[in-house]
Amino acid sequence: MNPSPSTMGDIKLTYRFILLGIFSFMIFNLLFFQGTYHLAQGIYRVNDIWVLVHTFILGFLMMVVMGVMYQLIPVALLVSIYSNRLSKIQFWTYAVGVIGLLVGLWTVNTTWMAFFGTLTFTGVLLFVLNMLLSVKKLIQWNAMALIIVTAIFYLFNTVLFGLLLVLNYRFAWFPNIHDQLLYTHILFGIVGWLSSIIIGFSYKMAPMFSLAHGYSEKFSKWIYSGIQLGIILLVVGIFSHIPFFNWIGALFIVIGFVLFSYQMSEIMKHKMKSTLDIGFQVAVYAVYGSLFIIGLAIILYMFLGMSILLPFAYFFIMGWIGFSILGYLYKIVPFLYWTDKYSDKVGKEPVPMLKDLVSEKKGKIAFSLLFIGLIGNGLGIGLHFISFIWLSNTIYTLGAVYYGYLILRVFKA
Amino acid sequence: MRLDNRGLQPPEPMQRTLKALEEMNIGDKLTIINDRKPMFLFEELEQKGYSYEVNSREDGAFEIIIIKKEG
Ligand code: HEM
Repeated sequence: MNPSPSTMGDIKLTYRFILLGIFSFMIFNLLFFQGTYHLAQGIYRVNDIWVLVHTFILGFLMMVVMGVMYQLIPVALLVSIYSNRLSKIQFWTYAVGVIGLLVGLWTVNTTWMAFFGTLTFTGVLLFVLNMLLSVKKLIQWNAMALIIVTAIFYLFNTVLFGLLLVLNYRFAWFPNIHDQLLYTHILFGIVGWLSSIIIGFSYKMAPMFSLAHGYSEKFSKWIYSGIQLGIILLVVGIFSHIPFFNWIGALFIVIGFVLFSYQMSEIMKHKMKSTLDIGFQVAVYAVYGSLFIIGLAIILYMFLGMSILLPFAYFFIMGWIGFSILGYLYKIVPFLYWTDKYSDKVGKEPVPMLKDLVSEKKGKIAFSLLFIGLIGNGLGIGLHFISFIWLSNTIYTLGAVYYGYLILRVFKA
Repeated sequence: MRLDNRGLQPPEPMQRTLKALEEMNIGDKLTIINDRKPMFLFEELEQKGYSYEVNSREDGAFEIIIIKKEG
C-alpha cells in the first residue's frame, strides 16, 4: 500500500490552499488594527472581532492545515487520498463560503451569515468526508489514525456548532442555549480540533525534523485521554452550569498539555540533529509556551476572575496554535516544494538541498518580529492600552509580511 | 547491513536507519530500502560524514546505499 504520486494529494491544490491562507493572514493583520478598539476594552462578542477571529482561523490556519493534510495524511498513514476531485470541489466550496461568511459577519447580515455559514460548513464537511474515506483504506488501525479521526470529529462538530450559531442569529431557533453553543464551539475548535491535530502531527514531525529515535512514548495515551476526558467534562459543565465539571475538565486538559510538553522534551533529548531549523524550533517553543500561558492564566484567574482571560485567549490562539502552525509551515512548504520539484533527481544530479530553499537567518528575523508583536499585543489587550497595541501590532504585521514574503519566495526556487 | 523499511509508517523507517547508522564503523556499508526517499536524513548524512547513493527500484521503492566515510 505505497501511495504512488498520482494517488497522493494534489500538490497544486495544496499550494493554492497555502497561498490563500497567507493572503488571509495579511488581511487579518490589517483587520487587527480595526479590532484593537474592542479588544482593548475586553469586548470580543462583536462583529469586528468575529471577523478577526474567523479570518485568522478559517482563512489562515484552516486553509493551511487542510492543504497540508492532503499531503501529510498519505505520508503519515500510508494511504492515498480518497479523491483529488473532491478536494478541489472542497477547496472552492470552502473558500467561497468563508469569504461570504466573513462579509456576512462583518455586516451582521444574518441571511448572509446563514447562507455562507452553510456553504462553509459544506466545504468542511467535504473535507471531513474526503479524510475519513482516505483513512478508511488503512489496513491496520493505529494510534495516529485514532488521533486524526478524533480531531476531524471535533472539526465537524465545531463547524456544526458554528452553523447552529449563525442559524440561531437568523431564525432564533434556540435562544436559550446560544451562549452554551458558543462556548462549546470555541472549546471544540480550539482544543478538540486545532490543538489536537497539532499534537497528533507532532508525534510524526518532531522526530523527523530533529532526527530523534529511542525515546519513550508511554504518555501518549494519557495525553489523548486527558484531553478527551477534559473536553467531555467541560461540555457537561457548560450545559449544566455546574462549575465543578468545568474545573475538573480544565484540569484534565491541563494534564494533557503538561504531559505533551514532557513528551516534546523527551524527543528533544533524543535528537541527533545538531541544530534545529528555525521553523521547527518555533513550533517546539510554542509547546512549552502553551504551558506557560495556561499556568499563568489559571493563577491570574484565581485572583482576578473572568475579566483577565481575554489576553490569554489571544495568547493561546495566536501563540500556541498560531506559532505552531507558522513554525511547521516554514519547514513544510520547502519540503513539499522540494519533493515536488527535485525529489526525482536527488542522488543522480546536483540539486539544491532543502535548507537552500529558505533562509534561516531571515526566518529568525521574521519570527522575532512576530514574537515581539505577539507579546506586545497580548499585554496591550490585558492592560487595555490601545496605542500600545497599535505599536506592537505594527511590529507583528511587519513580521507577518516578511514571513509571507519568505514563504512565497520558496516557490521561486 | 541491509534494512528493509518498506510498509513502515514514518518516522519508523528513519528511526531504524538512525539506529543502524550509529552502529556503523568507518568503511561500513548500509543498504536501506524505503517507500520514500528519506529527505530529512539526506541533509544530515553529508554533515555527519556519510556518503549515499539513491537507486529507484522496479517496485517503486528506493534503495539507498550509505557508506561511512573515513576520517
Ligand atoms: C462554518 C464555520 C463557522 C461558523 C459559521 C462560525 C460562526 C461563529 C459565530 C456566529 C460566532 C459568534 C457567536 C456569538 O458571539 O454569539 C463564532 C465565534 C467563535 N468561533 Fe466560529 N464559526 C465557524 C468556525 C469556527 C472554527 C473552525 C473555529 C475554531 C477552530 C471557530 C472559533 C470561534 C471562536 C474562537 C469564536 C469566539 C470569537 C468571538 O466571540 O468573537 N469558529 N463563530
